Amino acid sequence: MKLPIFLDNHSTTPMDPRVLEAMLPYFVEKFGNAASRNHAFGWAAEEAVDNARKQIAKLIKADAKEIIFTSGATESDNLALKGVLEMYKEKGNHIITSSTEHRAVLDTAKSLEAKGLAKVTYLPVDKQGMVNPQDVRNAITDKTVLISIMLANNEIGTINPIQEIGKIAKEKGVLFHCDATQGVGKIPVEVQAMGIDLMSFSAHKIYGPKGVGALYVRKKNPRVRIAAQIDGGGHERGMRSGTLPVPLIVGFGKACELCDQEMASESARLSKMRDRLEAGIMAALEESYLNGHPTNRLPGNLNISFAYVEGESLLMGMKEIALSSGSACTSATLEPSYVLRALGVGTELAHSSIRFGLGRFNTDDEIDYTIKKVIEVETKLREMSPLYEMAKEGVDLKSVQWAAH
Amino acid sequence: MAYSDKVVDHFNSPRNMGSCKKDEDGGGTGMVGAP
Repeated sequence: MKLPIFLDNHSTTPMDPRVLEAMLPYFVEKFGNAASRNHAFGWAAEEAVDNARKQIAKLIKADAKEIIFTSGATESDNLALKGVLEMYKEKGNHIITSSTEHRAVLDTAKSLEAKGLAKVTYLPVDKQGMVNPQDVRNAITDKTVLISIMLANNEIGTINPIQEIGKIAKEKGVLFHCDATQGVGKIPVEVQAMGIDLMSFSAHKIYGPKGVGALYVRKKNPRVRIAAQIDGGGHERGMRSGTLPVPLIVGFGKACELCDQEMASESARLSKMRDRLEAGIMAALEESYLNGHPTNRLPGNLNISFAYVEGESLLMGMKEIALSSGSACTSATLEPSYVLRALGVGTELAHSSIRFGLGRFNTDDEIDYTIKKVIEVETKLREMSPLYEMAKEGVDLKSVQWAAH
Repeated sequence: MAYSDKVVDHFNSPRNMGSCKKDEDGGGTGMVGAP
């Protein structure tokens, strides 16, 4: 078992060696520009890109022509929101999204609001982080042009009822965008069955290279049109100009193919390891709380709040294990995670949360080591914690009047 | 942006840590935070 252990697969993933192998020829030998139509270098590159499009489309049960390559899911989110708003501005300017979306969607929505280009409704989520489809239905007006709800949350792993929301969107004639970055390749995603019109996802979350992502844009029933945000040559059917990063795209395609083949067995394995990690930690440590839905969550995701201990100190104590925290110090501002706050988790518990993200290359040994380490460090930190001491003596911390000065 | 050596040192070997008994003589109180 090698240290340090990587358990932060929701932030990024190591590239699968098979993906790297598929990419290498396209850096030095087959280095042509896929848009060069006049020579063999260009034709070889174009063929590789077309093949990747097919592999990616197969994973999400779409048509290859419906895949637009971008620089990542953030760009895809931007393109979806801004592109739809611009194209359908005659119809209206109302967007419905949720309060736990990724920053790429929330910040784009806020920016559109600030520019006066959109009115946005941010739907609340329930205590486990799920969006209620009825809330979506109630929020739709005759000026609504887009609903954007993520498939699975990156912090708490909760999976949203996308199929039901897709049905409502279709019924009301509103376009439905789904940010599926954390779900694609990990749980089955089918754009037709789920009624999705636009979908963002990226390569580096599924053992592919960083720097490439895709936007699925539906071609039939209805035909979705978006205004390009990056102009210059009309690549990708006029929706996103720029020379295609052929090696990255080849890697993306290979990563999708591997996920398609291995998803069922991998998610079963990860769920088992995650459940073992959860049971091991929560059985040994009192006052530890699971954030997110207990069963309807991503197979490799675990998010626990440990009362009386601040998140970053736990991470410092476990320096051989790479994890993430929803505590304030690990974000640029001093605000605790907005996702946890949207769940109604109190500020103290939001500051004490840890997110574990299991992935393809984690082993049972690593899980055992992590369980041991978490218990050890938590116990040591709780011994140091004055709040823990007070709670043990029976003081109700909520009744304390803290004097500020 | 790794943690500085001083921070890591104080984290691994905390100084001046502990609790006083409630009824012990000579204990004082202080305020936490920046003035």
